[in-house]
Amino acid sequence: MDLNWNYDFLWDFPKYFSPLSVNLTSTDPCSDYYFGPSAFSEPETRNARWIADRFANTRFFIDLHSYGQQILYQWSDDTDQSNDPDMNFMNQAYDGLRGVDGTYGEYMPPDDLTAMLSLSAALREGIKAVRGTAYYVEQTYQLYPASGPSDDYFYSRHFTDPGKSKILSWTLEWGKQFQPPWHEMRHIIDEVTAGLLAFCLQLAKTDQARGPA
Amino acid sequence: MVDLVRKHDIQVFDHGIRFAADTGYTVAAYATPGEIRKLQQNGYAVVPHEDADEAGKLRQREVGRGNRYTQSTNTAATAYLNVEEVESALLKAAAAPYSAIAQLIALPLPRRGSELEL
Repeated sequence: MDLNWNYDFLWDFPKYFSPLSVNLTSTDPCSDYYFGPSAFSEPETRNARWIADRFANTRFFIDLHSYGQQILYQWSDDTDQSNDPDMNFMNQAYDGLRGVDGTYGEYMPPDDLTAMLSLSAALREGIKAVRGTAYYVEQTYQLYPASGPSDDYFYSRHFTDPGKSKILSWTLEWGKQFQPPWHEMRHIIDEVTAGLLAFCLQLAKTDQARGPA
Repeated sequence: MVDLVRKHDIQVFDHGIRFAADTGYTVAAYATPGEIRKLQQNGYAVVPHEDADEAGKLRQREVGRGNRYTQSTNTAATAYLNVEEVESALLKAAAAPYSAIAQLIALPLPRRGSELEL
């Protein structure tokens, strides 16, 4: 199965997505893309959720994957939109319509989109500084519609429960193949490390600009 | 792409999918020689990238032996970390001088390995 379709964000994709959506998630237990018998059915995903619950001041989440040389921000289920707060993943009126262009857009507050793009750019420049590799910054949906991924789940938590902290989230798809040769992997590790440091430095700058709380 | 998955039963990767106006969708996938022939007969352009089985065996041979963190080994800088080395690396990352900003935490559900909180 695919653990990254097992989180509780629009997990039951046949219910939430349009039948015309190119969602690769599968209900077939023999598929590599099987989403599991229920959301959070797996110990690995429950452990990840526990970390966010245990460390309630978590503000950022980056899921490292291979491959694609992409920095992906929310959302995964449909095109981002910042005009209609009622058009969102919790609104049952849109069940069965998500994941196809033109009929639905997932709500993203404008300030969140600005922050995600700014931090994505810092991450990208940090990676590029190592040896010039230019990663794409994209909304995840631009790849394909997805249900139940980790990054959407962690970002969605403060919408479903306003008592939880907002966690801005990304998926970083490093490299150009699932298992690169070690001589290439060493460079990728340097790139990802530099990117994450640049991300943190950008955060520090932002916090300094805000001044003391 | 939907046809590749649902009609031709091809294992399309959920990574590396690209769309360009002139070429349409480009996807990466696993396919046997027989499946490649059928796809070509149905009008798909197929570019073989690598023998996935062979590539997997090559990567397995690149995993280090021993433990570079606890003993001297001449393969340390030229190989992937093995499981024991990953555990040692996590311990090192949570030790001084990083212990002020990093700690190892025990996860509630059973699994191999450890998590590092920064």
